Amino acid sequence: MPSNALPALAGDPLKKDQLLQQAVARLGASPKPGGPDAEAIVTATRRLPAVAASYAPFPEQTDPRLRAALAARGIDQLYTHQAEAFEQVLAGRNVVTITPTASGKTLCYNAPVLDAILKDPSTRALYLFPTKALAQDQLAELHALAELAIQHGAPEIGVFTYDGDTPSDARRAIRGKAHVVLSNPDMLHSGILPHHPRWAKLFENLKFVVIDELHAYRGVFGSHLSNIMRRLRRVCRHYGSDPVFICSSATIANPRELAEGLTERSFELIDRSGAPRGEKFFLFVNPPVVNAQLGIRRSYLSEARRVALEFLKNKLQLILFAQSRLATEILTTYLKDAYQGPPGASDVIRGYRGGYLPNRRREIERGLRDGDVRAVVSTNALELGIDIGALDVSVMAGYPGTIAATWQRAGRAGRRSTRSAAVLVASSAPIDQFIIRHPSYFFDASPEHALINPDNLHILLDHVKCAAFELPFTTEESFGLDGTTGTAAVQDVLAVLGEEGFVHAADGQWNWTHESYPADAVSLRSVSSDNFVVVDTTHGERVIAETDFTSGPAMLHEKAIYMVEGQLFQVERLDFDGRKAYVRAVDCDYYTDAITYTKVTILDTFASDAAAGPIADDRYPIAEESGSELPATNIGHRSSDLEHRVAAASLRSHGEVHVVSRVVGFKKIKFYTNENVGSGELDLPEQQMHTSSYWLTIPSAVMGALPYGGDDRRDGVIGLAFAMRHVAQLLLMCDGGDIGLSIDGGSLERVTRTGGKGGVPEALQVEPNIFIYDNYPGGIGFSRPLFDMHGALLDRTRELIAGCPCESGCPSCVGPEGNTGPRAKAVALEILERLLSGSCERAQRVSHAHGAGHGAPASAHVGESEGRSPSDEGEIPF
Amino acid sequence: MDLKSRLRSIVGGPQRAARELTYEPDTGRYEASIDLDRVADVLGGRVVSNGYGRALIVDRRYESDRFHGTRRVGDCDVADGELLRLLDPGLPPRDLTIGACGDDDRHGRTLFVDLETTGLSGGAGTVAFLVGVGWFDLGAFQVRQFLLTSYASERALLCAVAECFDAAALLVTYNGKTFDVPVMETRWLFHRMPMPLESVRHFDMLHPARRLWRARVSDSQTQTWPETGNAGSPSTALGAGCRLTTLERVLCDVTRVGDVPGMEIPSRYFRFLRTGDARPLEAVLEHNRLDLISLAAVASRAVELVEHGTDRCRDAAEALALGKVYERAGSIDRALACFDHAAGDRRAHVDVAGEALYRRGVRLRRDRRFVEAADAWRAILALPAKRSRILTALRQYAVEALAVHHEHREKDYEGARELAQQLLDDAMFEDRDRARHRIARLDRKIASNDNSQLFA
Repeated sequence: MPSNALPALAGDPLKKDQLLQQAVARLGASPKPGGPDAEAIVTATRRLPAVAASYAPFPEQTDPRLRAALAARGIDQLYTHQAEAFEQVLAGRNVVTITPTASGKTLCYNAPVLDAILKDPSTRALYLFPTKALAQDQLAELHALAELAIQHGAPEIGVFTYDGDTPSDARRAIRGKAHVVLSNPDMLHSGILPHHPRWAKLFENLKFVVIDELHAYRGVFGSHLSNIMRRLRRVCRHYGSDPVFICSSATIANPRELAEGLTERSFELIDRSGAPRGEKFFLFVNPPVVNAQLGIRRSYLSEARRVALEFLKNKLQLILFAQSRLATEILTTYLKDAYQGPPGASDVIRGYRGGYLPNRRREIERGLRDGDVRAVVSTNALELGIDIGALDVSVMAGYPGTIAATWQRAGRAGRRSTRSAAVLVASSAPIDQFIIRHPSYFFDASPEHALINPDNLHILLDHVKCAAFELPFTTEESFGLDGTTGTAAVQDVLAVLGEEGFVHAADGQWNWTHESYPADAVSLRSVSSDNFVVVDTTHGERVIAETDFTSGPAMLHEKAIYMVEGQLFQVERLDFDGRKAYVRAVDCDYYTDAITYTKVTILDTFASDAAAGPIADDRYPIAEESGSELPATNIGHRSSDLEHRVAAASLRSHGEVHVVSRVVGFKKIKFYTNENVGSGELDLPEQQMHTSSYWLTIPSAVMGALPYGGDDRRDGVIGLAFAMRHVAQLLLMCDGGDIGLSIDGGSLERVTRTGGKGGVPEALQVEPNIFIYDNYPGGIGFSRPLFDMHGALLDRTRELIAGCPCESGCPSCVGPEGNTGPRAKAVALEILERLLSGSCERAQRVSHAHGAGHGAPASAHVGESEGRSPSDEGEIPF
Repeated sequence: MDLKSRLRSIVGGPQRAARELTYEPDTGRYEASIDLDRVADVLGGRVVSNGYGRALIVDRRYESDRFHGTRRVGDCDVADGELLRLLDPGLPPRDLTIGACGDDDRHGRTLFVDLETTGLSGGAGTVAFLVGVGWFDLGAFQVRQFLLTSYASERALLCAVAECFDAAALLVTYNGKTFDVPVMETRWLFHRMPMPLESVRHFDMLHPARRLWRARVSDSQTQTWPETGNAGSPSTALGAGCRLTTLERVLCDVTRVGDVPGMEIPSRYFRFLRTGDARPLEAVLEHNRLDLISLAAVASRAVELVEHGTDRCRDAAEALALGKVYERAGSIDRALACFDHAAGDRRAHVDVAGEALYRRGVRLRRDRRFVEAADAWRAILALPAKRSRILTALRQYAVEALAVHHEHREKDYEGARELAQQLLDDAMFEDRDRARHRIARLDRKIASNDNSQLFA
């Protein structure tokens, strides 16, 4: 592409529509599959129709000054969802709204909060955002609104952010003056709640707690937030307040459940947006295969560049999302190379990511709103609600990982009336390949569930300490779920803390009797606060990052490539006891992947059955499999069909397990192609953890009937496990590191083939188990949902493997052939077919009581679960 | 594993080795019964009752002729007056109307305050379990300590303490602005009781002590250049060397025998809560009492210094520090006298003498006493040559200041040029550029002077 200047932005909306359609059409008509200059394949094109606005009047009792302030901004009536939220809050009910990007969600909470402050100036509100930047963004918006209200006769309204950047001399003033405090969970946890006496004025008058970007609080972070909310409610009780919660979330499957789980309050759900939306095109693009045998595709980054240029040529403004900071920088360079503006002109192509200074970020945001910046390449930093105005096109280089995030990113293009486009370019990761080949999974299925587990013992314990520091527990008090459904009762927790000297019971209460400040020892973004720090020794010594204890050995073993801000570092020395890794900046074209030997022992089986159970459960509907647009009405029919097929299948279980893992070696993997370019051995201490797990038991009848030899069978099980793990990640809406995988104590890596040794799985059991466990001590709540989604898990896995165009395995399905063996793909499919078609008899399976086929460690615990009769199958003992 | 053992393994941590317990393990099976009267007996206190319940008070009196180290207790009284405002110009003047109409002599009292707490972090879970206050009564030092005998009785304690604080016109603490007062405020706020401290004037001895004696107690000899080092910055709480126990030793030769280390204090209190045995607390109460007397001793010594000026200064460094304190309080004549005294002390280290002259010069110049200032600059140059980073910098400064003086005040361009040349020879980097500019300008002035003389 020759360097040339960009044509001016299309100003006229009609012209713009034409140009957009042209570009979409050109992309859609890229036909030539195969061959060296193969074009990408567009696997889906959808047209999402425009939606007209639906309005509702302000609630009767709205303060006239608020109305006047909003009228001054051109808002004379509300969208229906805003009005509904307003009404519900006025009626004292907790609400959670899910509405698309740019639908005016902030007014859903700003309107009722400002209204209440105008009517009663003693009213206080606390806003929580997952990041400081979002709080700053909202501060500006709220300030502007409050300023307008003041012009219309309102008294002074104090709006302040309170976070780690707030200067200490300003803090006292904020505590007294702020009507609205904008903060984040970390600050609430360590800076506000432990000092609640100083915030007495806030807590006495706290009427509203706003939790924005609710969907961000899942997994560990969400489990922590849930406990912080328990502490917040305790403190509020102490001061006699009982705030209403107003939450807003991106589209997820279970917003109400998440809101109720986080706050332990009942919620009204508002999920019908009244905001108008312009027409949108949504395209799925898969880079062409360049080596069919190895299943290697053309770089998705080059493909994303090509797509972006297509739109830029047509005078359209776009945002290009990359998966990492490194990819962001690469794509920025690509686009800049293609379009160099005239010398001296301001940059029309910009990068945007965490790590840029705030001023630079503000400048880019402004440039986007004004149209001076034509394209921005960003990480997920621009996914959340930062105001960048209405863009024409959103291009995603790589699947963002969840349906919810994909819609969020797609929503950054196209605001209320204009036509827009979103393009997803798949990488060769299994999840990307699954999504791109099954568009209806994305378009027609419900998005993911956000899961939390506030009663994870590690997390619970930390917050009981913090809560005891804040206010003494009475000997009658409860905390959260407290003893129901297998959770720990807080009185038991306190008794154990008493044994260790943290608290002391006297006069009917548990008092904090420890010198420490417990909140300091708790990091909200992980389970355990023990961590490794990464020390860069390139120029002097400088701490550049930290890693939680669990993933330390796998990420920071010697010779590992550690990445931060797109920069590569090699670990030179790991001081395991000192919890330090010394790294040095390097320049290389590969990264490392640790080989972990993992042994899982079953401690307790919570539920186990041979049936697939409620796979058509409406919480986890089965999506339609199809490359084109089929009406979604087929879903019900297909699912029941599926249920029938899966019903007579394999053994699924979930329960508590003990995981022992040791990093025994590592592989060097080339960027983009994922080629294995070397390996090494390591000797590191083993790590143990007690967590929860889902597992699949392949019945001996299925194994025995496979027309393959022992090695091939083993390869097949390993390949199946590899694919299942990725599908589980897709279904659970979690990061790759959140779950672990193990097969009956064997490692998944065939290290012998790459020159190492030690991680080879033993000969398979007669009935092999595939464990997918929560990769956090105590578990984070994935195994039970996975157990419930067992049917979907197997079905999706089969679709992934069967739909993969490779011949005998590739990184996108059962793993690269060099790693898995020549027949892995065929055997894995065969196993799945047999599991799904139920070739073995039901009666035969019942005789395989779970645990019977597991080796010694497992059978030692059979006694514990024997109370449950195998004839209980299908019933979950909860 | 049952739930409790799992909880234990998490709380205890997997890697933690067996450790020695410093307290009786609390199994939750029993509650230690604390017999208030027995505790009072052991500690030599008495129980008082108020609307919130019962509180324990321990009173001790130190007669005026007793000695605390080398200092007589009777000499430790601190008069609440203008002298304190020399040490802390931020302290509001005493409102004499209160003292005048006070029929009760407790009103208008100066209270020395020191807390012992369950932790140093602050926040809702940090409790002041011992509130020590002291005041002078007919020359004797009267100490009253309030001990929290159970968390449940904290309101009774706070109520009793509030009554005592109500009588105060002035609080004297050591680091109380950062620690003691916020901790007490948090306790009253926690129980949503009225705060008695908001209107009381507060003199925190830590900051004046740093200004006066930091150099003396500091082990390290590294000093910062006065212009750039921001020498008086109290950014770190009780930074190296300025702890009260160090000061009492250096200033009053106090040595404590069998004192409880500060870090051991909270665990002694927790042990008391668990066992009800008050005996280990006796040493904590004694520690607190010694802190209170030392606070009075140190504060009175500081007041003595500002009252009598150079006469009471032990050495040149103290005189220099005192001069800075006077200057900060706007007492210029006394400041200049101190600088003079420090510079004239023949035993003084050249760095100290140099800084004293430098401060004198800057002060005089600011007050437009240019001729005297120039004398100070010359005196710096007359100091014995010695290898010292500070002195080198001071000389540099003095030469430049003199050059300015000669050029702009005396109009002695030749003399100024000579000094500027000297400056150029010694200077480095951008200072050299400045010196060259000066020389060039002086050369022009000299030339035009010559010309005008020529035409005259």
